[in-house]
Amino acid sequence: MSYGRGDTLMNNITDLPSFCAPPVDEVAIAVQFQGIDRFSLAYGTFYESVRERLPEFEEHDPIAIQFETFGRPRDQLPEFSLEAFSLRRGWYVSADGHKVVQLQPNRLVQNWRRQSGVGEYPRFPAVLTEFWNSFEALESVTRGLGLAMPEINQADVTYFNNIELFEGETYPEAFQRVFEWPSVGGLSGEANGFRLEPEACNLSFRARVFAPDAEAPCARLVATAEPSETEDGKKIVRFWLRFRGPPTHIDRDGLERFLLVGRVAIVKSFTDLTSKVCHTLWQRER
Amino acid sequence: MPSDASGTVLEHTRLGLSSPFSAGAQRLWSESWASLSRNEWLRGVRNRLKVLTELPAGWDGYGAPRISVETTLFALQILQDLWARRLPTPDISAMSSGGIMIEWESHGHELTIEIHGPYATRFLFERAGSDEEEVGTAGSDISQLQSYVAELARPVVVAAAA
Repeated sequence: MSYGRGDTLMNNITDLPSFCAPPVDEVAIAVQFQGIDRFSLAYGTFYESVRERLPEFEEHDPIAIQFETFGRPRDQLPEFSLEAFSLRRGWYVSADGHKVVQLQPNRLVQNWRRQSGVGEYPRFPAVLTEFWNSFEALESVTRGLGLAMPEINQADVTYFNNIELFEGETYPEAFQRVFEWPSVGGLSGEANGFRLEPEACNLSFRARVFAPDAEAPCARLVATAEPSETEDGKKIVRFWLRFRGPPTHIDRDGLERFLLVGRVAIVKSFTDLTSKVCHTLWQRER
Repeated sequence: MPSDASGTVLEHTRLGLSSPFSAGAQRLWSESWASLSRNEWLRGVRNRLKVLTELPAGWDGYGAPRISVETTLFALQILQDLWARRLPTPDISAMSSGGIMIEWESHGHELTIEIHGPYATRFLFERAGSDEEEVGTAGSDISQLQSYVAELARPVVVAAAA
């Protein structure tokens, strides 16, 4: 199947920043859709259809449904949710553990992830191809079982980056290095005889995304960086960026364009927010 | 009965859930909303939405579909976005079409929001002292609804005695 306009957009992205050694730890492409009745029938049949490339199966708690809405800018407030509904989330995992498809009655997620810091990021187009393979498998399964077809109401792209701290580096020092925050260093100085020593920091950034000439936003970009540790105890800055919203056109072409715009927004924001020192470290090539 | 621009009647058979309290407590409840914190306000609407999700298909005796989880969660998202200090707790009811109706009446204004699914919202606003009704639809952009809510939630100004 060809996604003509999307292919064109993909080929036209020549000015997108690119790194030879990006700190990407995980990428997720997801769609949320109207819950499909009798979906429990689909888990096994879906497994049969993807078993060759995703032979492992795990069961997890469901991902909560969320919607991006836009109005006047407001403070970030804690979200309320209904208690979990009786949903299951299946994980279908490749033999090497790098590819994961997550499936529940209202959501399909295609992941690529490093495993214990190992694995070369195959780049977004490869993850997108895997996503379409999984989505087509889901459509085929629901059609075959006589279930409703997925009606997409939201889509998102997320990049998770693990940025390792240098030997002996503190988290505030790492944030200063990664994000070039001059004020963090400034706080280390003296203030009327009192010494200020940064001890914790994080970054949270939200932006509404507008299509050219549009008055209403079409998506929201959220970026968050916080101190964290890898499973083997390495100190890292966990920096993730998510682009999410309701695709204007929910046909394949429209959805692919939405996902590609999300990728562009994330990569450009990542580059704008991080320092040139780190770009050199990550071997920026463009 | 009000109708929207397309002539569709903006009113449906519905199951009223106007208050979680007994009739005797109704007056006290309606007077207390002004002092509710955001969490208390949202806890109240969330509990009422949960009741709607438990309605069986055909709850109205005429084959009404169940209200979907997505519609309920979208309604909750809208209510979170619209919350404002002094905004009364809305009446929330199920619609025979499978949607959710949210209604406020405050300062003589009336706002009705119908949620038919994610990003599928219709609204009707009747301003106090005006014969004109404002009817429209909203997708992900709810700024118009926020404007109406600001009118519903404005503080009461009491004129000083001469």
